[in-house]
Amino acid sequence: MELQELVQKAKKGDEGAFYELMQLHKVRLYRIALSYLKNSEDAVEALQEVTYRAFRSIRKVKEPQYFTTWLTRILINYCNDELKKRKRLLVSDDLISLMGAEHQSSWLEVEEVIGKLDSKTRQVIELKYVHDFKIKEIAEILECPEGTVKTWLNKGLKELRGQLEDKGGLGYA
Amino acid sequence: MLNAEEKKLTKAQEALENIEVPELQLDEAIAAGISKGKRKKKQNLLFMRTFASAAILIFAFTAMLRTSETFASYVTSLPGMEKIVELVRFDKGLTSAIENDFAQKIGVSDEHDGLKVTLDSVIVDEQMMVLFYKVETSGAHKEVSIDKFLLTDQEGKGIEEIAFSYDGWSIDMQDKGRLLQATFEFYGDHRPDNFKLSMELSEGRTEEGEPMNKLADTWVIPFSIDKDAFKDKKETIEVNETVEIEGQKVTVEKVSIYPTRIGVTVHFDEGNSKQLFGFEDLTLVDETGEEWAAINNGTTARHMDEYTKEFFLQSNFFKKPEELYLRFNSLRALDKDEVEIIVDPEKMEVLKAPADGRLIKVDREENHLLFAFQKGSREGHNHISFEQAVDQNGKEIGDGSASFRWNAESPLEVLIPYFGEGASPGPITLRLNDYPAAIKGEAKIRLK
Repeated sequence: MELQELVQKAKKGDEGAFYELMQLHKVRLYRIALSYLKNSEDAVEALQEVTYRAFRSIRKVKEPQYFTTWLTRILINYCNDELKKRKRLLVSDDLISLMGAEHQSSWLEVEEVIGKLDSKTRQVIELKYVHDFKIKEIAEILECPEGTVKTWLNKGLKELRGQLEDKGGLGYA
Repeated sequence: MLNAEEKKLTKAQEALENIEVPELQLDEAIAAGISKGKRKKKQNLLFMRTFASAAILIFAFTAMLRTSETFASYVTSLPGMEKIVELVRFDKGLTSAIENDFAQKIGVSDEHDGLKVTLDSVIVDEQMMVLFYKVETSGAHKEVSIDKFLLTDQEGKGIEEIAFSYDGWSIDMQDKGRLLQATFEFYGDHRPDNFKLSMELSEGRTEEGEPMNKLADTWVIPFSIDKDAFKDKKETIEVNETVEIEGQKVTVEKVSIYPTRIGVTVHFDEGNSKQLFGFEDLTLVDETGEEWAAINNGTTARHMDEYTKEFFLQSNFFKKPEELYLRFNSLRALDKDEVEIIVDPEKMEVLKAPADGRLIKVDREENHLLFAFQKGSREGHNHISFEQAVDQNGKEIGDGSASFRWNAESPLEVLIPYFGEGASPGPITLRLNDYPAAIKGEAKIRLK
């Protein structure tokens, strides 16, 4: 069934359609939650909470084509609140340990450099390159104009380039 | 062509995608999220439609939170009555009516489309008829709701009612043989011998309360009642005693005792400085100290006129106490110049509200105007209601409906339809019908 059709049905109260929608999105949501919260247990809990929030307010989704970005927005808001609750970012080994050895160093390297970006820029960079959203979608998730997303992206990439050059690692990328 | 830094980032994406996904845990999380959402929805969203005439009624829905095990246990042994007792156990009067064999067995069914509706029994007196019924399936129906529930005489002619409420917003077919309850409060004198109960059903229901798949049939159940069973089953006590609570005069005019309930007619003095809404603890006590409390699931009061109200208590008709006292120590009341809430819906500004600061927020939610009130207690009844909102010209706003929403953590939210096409400009005024602010004193009036 088409995504849009499922959204229409779910809006009308069809629980099965809603379940199907969550199935379609669960892996992506889980990975985004992992990248924010850094451990699997918290990411699973995030999915539960997002399911609950989305179930409660699905009828508010005006256009079915925005469902994915709407759901992602709920998740990111949740994650940001959770991180605020934790007060400071804990560098957790849990996420790293879930990765294969061959990926760990490239993840850590990226984490290190994007960790120096301001939070908004970092968020945009991550959504674009780590979570593979289009610029238009990022604009919907963050509820801002596409132009703003592009500005942040350029700023972020420039800063990243600077950092990588400083480290002298660019030539081998 | 990707830049070098973009390539690096793409590696991070690969790293993340390489992580194994705990499918089972994710599915459990989704199921848990949905079931939490359903639970919240069912428990805490109360949709109330108050038509002009219905504004005179006050309902309570707290009973399920405070069911008493003790007095339920001694009647559950009545054969065939267990399920009904379970439904009415929070009402001592109805429980005792069943105990005294006052319920009339009906046992008539109608079946269409694999769905069977049965009217099991009724408790009826001059005041009202309480109907117990069930919807069962032999087929594949999962969730059914009752769209239309109509009680007429044999010819299909309507019977005048004060209030009519029925259960069946969502019936889970897994829950086999579950009994449901409807309450029909008579108005006027017409009590036919022969009735007809008609129901229309649909499958599923959206959050807005719209039926999803309406079934074509009408389920019709003709039945007869024995009117002699409740003939002369009534006792009226003229009281006419006035007490003063914090300077507010309260006159108990009369007490009418019926098998299904007791009505206490009370007059609040026109000269009172406060508007009195109702009692916190109106109770009947007999010579042994046994108490009968207010009805807490259904109509709790009705307005006779602006200053006169009839409050309903659980019945002790079958108990026939030798001595009887009416006791109350607290009433909900507000200064008369505080009973209006006035808001500007453009600026979301509260122009006037009770001074206690209980109204914490006015907001827009879709096309509804939302009022958030701080609750008096974590659970239970919130005792906030108002008459239909009016604009500055006194014209009524919306369709008279209001939704109430709350849970343990959040404030009570009341939503009324407002925005959208033809919304009249503010400010708009809501007159409070009930509010959790109390005056206290002591009153004990001897009735017998």
